Amino acid sequence: MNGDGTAWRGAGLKGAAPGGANRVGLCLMGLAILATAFLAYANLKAALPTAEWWAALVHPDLASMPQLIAHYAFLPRLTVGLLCGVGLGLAGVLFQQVLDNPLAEPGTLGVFAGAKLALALATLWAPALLALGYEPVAIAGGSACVGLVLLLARRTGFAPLAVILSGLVIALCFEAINKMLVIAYFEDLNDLFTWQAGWLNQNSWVTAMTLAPQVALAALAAAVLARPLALLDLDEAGARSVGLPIATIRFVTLVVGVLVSASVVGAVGVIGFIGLAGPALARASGARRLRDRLLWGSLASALLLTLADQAAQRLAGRSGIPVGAVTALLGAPLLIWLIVRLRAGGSEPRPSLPIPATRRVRPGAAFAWLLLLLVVAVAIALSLGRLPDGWHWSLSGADLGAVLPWRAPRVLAALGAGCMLGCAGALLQRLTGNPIASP
Amino acid sequence: MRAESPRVVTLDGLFTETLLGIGLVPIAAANRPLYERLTAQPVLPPEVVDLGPLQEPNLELMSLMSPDLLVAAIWQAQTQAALARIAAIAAFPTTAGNAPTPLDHLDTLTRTLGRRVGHGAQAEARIAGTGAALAQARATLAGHLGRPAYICRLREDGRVAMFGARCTVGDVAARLGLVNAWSGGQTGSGTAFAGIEDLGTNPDAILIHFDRGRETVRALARLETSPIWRALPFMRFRRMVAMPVVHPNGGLPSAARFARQLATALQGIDTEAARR
Repeated sequence: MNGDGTAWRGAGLKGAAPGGANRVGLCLMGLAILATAFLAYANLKAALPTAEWWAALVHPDLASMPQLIAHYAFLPRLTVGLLCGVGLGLAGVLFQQVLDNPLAEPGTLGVFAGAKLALALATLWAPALLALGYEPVAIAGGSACVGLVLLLARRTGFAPLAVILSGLVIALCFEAINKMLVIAYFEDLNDLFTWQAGWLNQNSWVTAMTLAPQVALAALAAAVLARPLALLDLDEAGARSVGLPIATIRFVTLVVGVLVSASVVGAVGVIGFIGLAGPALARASGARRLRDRLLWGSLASALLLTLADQAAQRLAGRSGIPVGAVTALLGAPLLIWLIVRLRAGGSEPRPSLPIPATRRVRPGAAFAWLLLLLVVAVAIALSLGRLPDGWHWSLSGADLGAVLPWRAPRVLAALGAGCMLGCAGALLQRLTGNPIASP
Repeated sequence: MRAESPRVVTLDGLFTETLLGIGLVPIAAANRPLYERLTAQPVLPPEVVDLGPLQEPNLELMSLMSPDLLVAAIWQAQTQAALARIAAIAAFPTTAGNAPTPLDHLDTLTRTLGRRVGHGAQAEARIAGTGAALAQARATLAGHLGRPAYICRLREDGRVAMFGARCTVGDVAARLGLVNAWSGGQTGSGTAFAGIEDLGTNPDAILIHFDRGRETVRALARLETSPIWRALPFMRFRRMVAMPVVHPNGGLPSAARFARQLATALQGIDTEAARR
C-alpha cells in the first residue's frame, strides 16, 4: 500500500518541473512572508513608537505600559505562535508520513478530542488537577485518546488505514461525550470552551518558555526518525527485509507527534488545519523528500499561523477573534483544494486498501444481536423516565399513555436519524470507495 | 393579590429570580444548580423541581405537573415548539436587547410578569425598592463619582470576562456614578473577552471582580506570574476589590445586591484619584 502511497506526494506537484520547485507555491510562500512581516510591524508600531523598540526588547521600563506590552505581550505572542506552528507542522508531517495520508493532522488521531475531553472532565470533577495549568491534563487526555486508538490498531501492526479509522471513531465518540457535557454543564465549561477556541494572547514569557524545549525535543526526535521513516516510503516488505522494526518506528513517530501537538493544545487551545496547511504549502513549493517536508513543512506552518494571528490582531484587536477560528475558517477551503489535487493526481481508486472486514463474524448472528439490542433500547427509552416523584418505570397502560406522546416522537426521531445517517454513510462509502467516508 | 397563585414553571434563571423577587415560588425551574451557583438569592426553596438543562428541559415531567404558565426565554419558545402543548407561554428576552438600558428591561420584565401572575403590587414594590437601594448606594459612593471602573471576572486562563455597559452589573455601576472603563466591543449580553494587556490604558481605573473561591485563587496565582499584571495601575495603587458573586445579567434582586456590595467594597478605596 505504500507503493501506492507515494502517488499523492507527487500529486501536489502536478504541473511542476520535475525535481524543481513549483513557482505558485514559492510565490505563495514569499507573499506570506511579506504579509506577516508587514502586519507584525504595523501591530507593534500601533502598540509602541519605533524609537522605543530596542529599549522594550532588551530592558523594558517597568513604568511604561506600552514597553511592557511590547516585551511581555507582543513578543511572547509572536514566539508562541511560531513555536505552536512548528510543533503542529512537525506533528502534521509525521502523522502524514506514518499514516500515509496527506489529510492527516493532530485532529485525525483524536489528540484534540482527547485533550478537550480530559480538560472538561478535570474542570468538572477534579479541578485540583488544573493547579499546574492546562498542559499536563491536555497531554494526558491526548495521549490517552491516541493510546486507545493505537490499542485498537495494534493487531494490524499500526497499518495506516486501521489507525485512521480507529482515530476517527474514538474522536467522534469523545466529541459526543464532550457535547453531552456541554449541554449538562454549560456554565462550568463555558470558560474552557472559549479558551479552547485557540487564543495566542500572552502576558508573560511563561508559555513560550514551556513550549520551547518541548518543540525543540520534538524537532530533534523528528530529525532522528527522518531516515528510518523515509525508508518506509519504499515498501513495507522491502523495509522489513533491511531489518527495520516497522511497528516500533511507527509507534515512536506517533508518540512524538501526539506529545508535541498535545503540548500545543495544552498551551493555547485547539488550532486546527495548521498541521495540514504548512506541509501542503511546503509540498506545493517543491519539498519532496521527507527531510525537506519536515523542515519546510514545520516552518511553513509557523509562518501561516503567525500570519493568521497577526492579521486577526490587525483586524480585530488583541483579543477580538481567536486565531483558532481564523485557521478553521481558512482550513476548510484548503482541505477541499487538497482533496481535488489528490484526485487530480490520479491516486484513486486505491484498490490495495483493505477494508477491515468483519467477515469472520456470521452476519446473521450479529444482525440478530443488534436487533435484540435495538428492541431493548427502545423499550427502555419508552418506559423509563423521571416523574415528579423520581425515576419511574411506566409499564402499565395508563402510565405509558401519559408519557408516550412525549417519548415516542423522540425515539422515532432518533431511529429515523440513525437510519438516514447509516444509509448516507453506506452510499458515500460505496460511491467514494472510501471505507471511512461518512456525512 | 389573588388567593391562589398560578402554578408557574420557569425555564431560565432570570425568570426564577424575578418571580421569587415578587413573592411567587415556581413549581419547577430549569437548571437549579445553575441558579444556585450564579444567582443564589433570593433562595430557591428545595421543593421546586429541577427540570434539567435550559436547552433540553424535561418536557414530560413538565406536562405531568400540569402548570398554568411557562415563563421562557424567547429563544426557548422559538426552538422548543412542544412547549406550547403543555401550557400557556410567557416569553421574554433574557438580555437588554432593544431596551434603552438593562435596568429598563428588568423593570419591564418584572412589571409584565407581575401582572401576568397576579403579583402586580409586589412587582411595583420590587421596582421601587431596587431604585431606593441604588439611590442609597449612590449617596454612599458620592466620593467616587465619575471614577472609571473595570467590572470583570478573572478567568483561570489568565484573561478576564469583562462586563460592559449592556449587562445588569454594568448598568448598575453606571447608575451609581461610575464610568465603565471597558471601551472595547461587547456582546449582546454586555460581556467581552479581554486579555489583561488591554487593561492598562486607564491609569485611574479601579478593578472590581467577583470572587468565585478556589477558581479565583487559581486565576490570581496565574496572573501574579505576569509582569504586565503587576504593573497595571489598579495593582500598583491597590485599587482592586473582590466581592461575592453576582450574576452579571441577573434580575432586580441581583441589581440591588450588586449596588450594596459595591457601596461596601469601595469604602476601602481612596477617593484621591476621583477628586483629581
